[in-house]
Amino acid sequence: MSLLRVNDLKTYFDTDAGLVKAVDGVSFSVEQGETLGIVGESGCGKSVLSLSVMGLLSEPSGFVAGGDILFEDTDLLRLSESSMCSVRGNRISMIFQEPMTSLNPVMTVGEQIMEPLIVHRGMTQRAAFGETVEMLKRVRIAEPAQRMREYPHQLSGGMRQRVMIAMGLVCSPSLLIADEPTTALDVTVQAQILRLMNELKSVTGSSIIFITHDLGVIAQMAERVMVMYAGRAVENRDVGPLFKEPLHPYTRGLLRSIPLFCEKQDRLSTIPGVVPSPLKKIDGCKFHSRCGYAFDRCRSEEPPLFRLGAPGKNASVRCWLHENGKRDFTEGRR
Amino acid sequence: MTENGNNNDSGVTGNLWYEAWLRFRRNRLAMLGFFMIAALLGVAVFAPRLAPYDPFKQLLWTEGIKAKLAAPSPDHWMGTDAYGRDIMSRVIHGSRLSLQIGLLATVVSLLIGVPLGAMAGYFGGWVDDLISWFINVIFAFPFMLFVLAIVAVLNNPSMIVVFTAIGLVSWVSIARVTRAQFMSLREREYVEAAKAIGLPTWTILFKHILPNTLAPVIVQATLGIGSIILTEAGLAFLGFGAQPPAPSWGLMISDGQQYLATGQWWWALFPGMAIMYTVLAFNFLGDGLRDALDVRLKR
Amino acid sequence: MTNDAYIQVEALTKYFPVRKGFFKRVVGQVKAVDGVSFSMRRGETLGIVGESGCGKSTIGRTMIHLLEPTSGSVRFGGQDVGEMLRTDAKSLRRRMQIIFQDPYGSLNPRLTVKEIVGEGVKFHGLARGKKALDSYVADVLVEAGLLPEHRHRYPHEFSGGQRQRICIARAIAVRPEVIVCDEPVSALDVSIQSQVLNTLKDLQERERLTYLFITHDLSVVKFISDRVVIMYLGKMMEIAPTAAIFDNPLHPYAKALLSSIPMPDPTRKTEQVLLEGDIPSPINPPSGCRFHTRCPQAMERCSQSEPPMTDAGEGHGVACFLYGP
Repeated sequence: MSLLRVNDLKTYFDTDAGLVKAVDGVSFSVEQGETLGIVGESGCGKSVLSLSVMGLLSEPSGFVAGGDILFEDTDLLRLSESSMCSVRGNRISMIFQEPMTSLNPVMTVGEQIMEPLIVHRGMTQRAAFGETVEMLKRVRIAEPAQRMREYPHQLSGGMRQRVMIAMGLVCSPSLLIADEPTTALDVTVQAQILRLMNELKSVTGSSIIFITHDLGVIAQMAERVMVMYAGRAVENRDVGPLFKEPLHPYTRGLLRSIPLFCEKQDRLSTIPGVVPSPLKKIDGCKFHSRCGYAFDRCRSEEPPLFRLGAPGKNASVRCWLHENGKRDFTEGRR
Repeated sequence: MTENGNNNDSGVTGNLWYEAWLRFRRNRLAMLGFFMIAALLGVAVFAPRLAPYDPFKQLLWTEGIKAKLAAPSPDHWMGTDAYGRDIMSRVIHGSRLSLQIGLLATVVSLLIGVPLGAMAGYFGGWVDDLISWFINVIFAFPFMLFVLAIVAVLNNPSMIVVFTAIGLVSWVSIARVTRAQFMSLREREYVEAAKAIGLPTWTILFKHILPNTLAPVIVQATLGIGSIILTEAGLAFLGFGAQPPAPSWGLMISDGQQYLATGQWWWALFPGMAIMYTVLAFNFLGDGLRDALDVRLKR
Repeated sequence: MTNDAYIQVEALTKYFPVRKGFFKRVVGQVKAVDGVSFSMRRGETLGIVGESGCGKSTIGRTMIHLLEPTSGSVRFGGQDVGEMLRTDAKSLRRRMQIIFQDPYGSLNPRLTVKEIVGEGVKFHGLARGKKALDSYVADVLVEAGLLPEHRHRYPHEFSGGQRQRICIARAIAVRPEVIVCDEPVSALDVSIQSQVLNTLKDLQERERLTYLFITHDLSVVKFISDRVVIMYLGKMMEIAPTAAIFDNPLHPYAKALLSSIPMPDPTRKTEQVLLEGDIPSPINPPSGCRFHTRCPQAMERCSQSEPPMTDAGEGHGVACFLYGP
């Protein structure tokens, strides 16, 4: 039984310029104790997806137009706002990219971490304090009792992100959604935070949805990866095979445009063109205009997600090249 | 990346002023303000033709009705005052005075505020310290008192003195906005790029910074017009500024307020409503401009 | 390092005063760049890498004297840049250009692309007359990977990558010899990043440009640079040819930095040299070697005196007592 199962989720935004289909029919599941990485470039819908799961869309302009989100067999979309509140921060919690703007500047760090314990667990101030000290120790913050009395601006960037993680994990949620949690950090600090998250996960057994644009971070953190493009999932596979042999031309292009991946070279391989405007209606595969393998069918008919391998394997790719299972990339190149 | 440089579906130019106008047009309250002011301007321009009577003429009798302090009637829609003058005609003519003061005082405050604010913001250092100190001193003074002091010192209650005095005081809010804009814009990378190209300081100031400060300054000035008109009325009410028998809204309220208690409400009420209409109109317009001109590049 | 190097940066230092209180007394100095020396050959790319607060952006701006250095000198083609700025600012500005990180803040939103790119061309007299300017700008746009018809549009009509290309066009339009690239691709998505990097590399080959390439992204620096400088809190830690830095980093900080990069390969979970703690503030940087507070191999003398830059052979320099003197 999956912990989280999202079926055909559609999240749209009503804008002045027209309807933006930010997430357009995405399905995936997260198993108990698993880390699912969601990767894609800006505008692919990865952040909107996580906000939809959390029920944090900025209504009324953003709304879920279809699909369902089953968390521990409850459809989150059918929960009232008050019952959703008891899930949020308790059973599912979230860490954001910019810890400075996600922490309340006029509350001490301690108060903010204790809050979910008092609200969701009905703990007394005293008990919550003790629990928070423990939590801060686990995220490797020295002198936790002292730090709890400080305000967010008194902490460094890495420290703030640790506080965010402590806040996210303090109620031992079964699912943690981390949206670009290390993007604003320096590499050496990022390495610390990533290691910390991995260690905590092995202790708590929480599942993690890790959203990032950084394929390096994905490779180090995720067990399974969903690649998104223009509001769609285009590839969903285990991390090893995905990096070894990417099947969707977009995944392939992304991996090949990382300079570090290859030896010293004169030119980087690129994906031509830019991500299409979400307002533009595209016939066929959303990626066809940038794809080196596109053929006529790609321009007229959008491929469904083709399942790969054994039935329960949960590997899929949205590309006509893989209509009959795997296909070698060397053939059919334009 | 949700914008795509390759599709320019609308076919119009991407000029920011034009786009601001498109946004402005969609804002109902802003358009209401816009038309209210257009109407007011029309009234001011065509006042002599629109006014049913001579605003200065003391009517004695009209069609057998007593014309002094007459209640609103089909002949005098807003009634007459104690001198037998038609209030509607005076309110209509009063619009000229109010708008003139409002616009001229704003021009004065822009002429002082923009250059001073720009200098403080761009050069910083002691220039900024000096100008900011000056701004703060003026801000610390009660606005009305300051204007009164200037009018009293000049001892000449003419129109020129009034709008100069108001302008001399109200430039500070313009200067503040301009200063803040220049301070943040001088750090922009396009300003740095202009320096890196070697462009002279004045080109950077006038071509790269000033046009980008205009939007908030325009908003501030528009919102300011309302309060300037209010100030002028206040001055007239206190006996400064416009002098009798000039058809000034403030003066009319001042004269008419003593009759409120005895039931002759129309003398003070109608000029009061005219002031309210005008101030409201400029506020609608100013708020609408603020929303329309807000050039935060999307995403 | 000979005196006839194309660019010779000597003990370049930039402090920013920290003022506090009513009288704006100077209460401290942000030592953004502190005694940095390096040289550049014509046509090469020198990468400057480091984390936030290491002063990499300040080096770029002070090198072309967009910021006046507190002390130290920059010689460009044998002449002192500060001196050139006083005697012939116009030609210096034409010869040294800069490209910024933020594709949204670096273009004046009220000017068309033609005005933005053409401004420097006109100012430096590179095209005379309306027609000549028009075709000049069109050509430059094509060089930077845009279309000639883009010149009538405004910046906000473009995507991030295209806006960065406009910035490139603005810089190359005045036919510079040196371009400081300050994180030019950091704000872009990977697929767009590689397109822009290729353009920069092509331009360099065609025009024989010299790049000072500032970035926090080690993978970008690996692709574009011939040599790399690693900075930490305003000081140079290591300088070496790119391959040497990546294959054989010497300084403990360089090692830690390189091992912190998350590799895009799930089978290579690198044994990381994890650094403790965060980067100290550049206002009161640690004494001695600035890295000693986080260094896993710190010795007693590291906190007392500052290690000088020592030659480790083959153009590899490192400022660490582990390698002498």
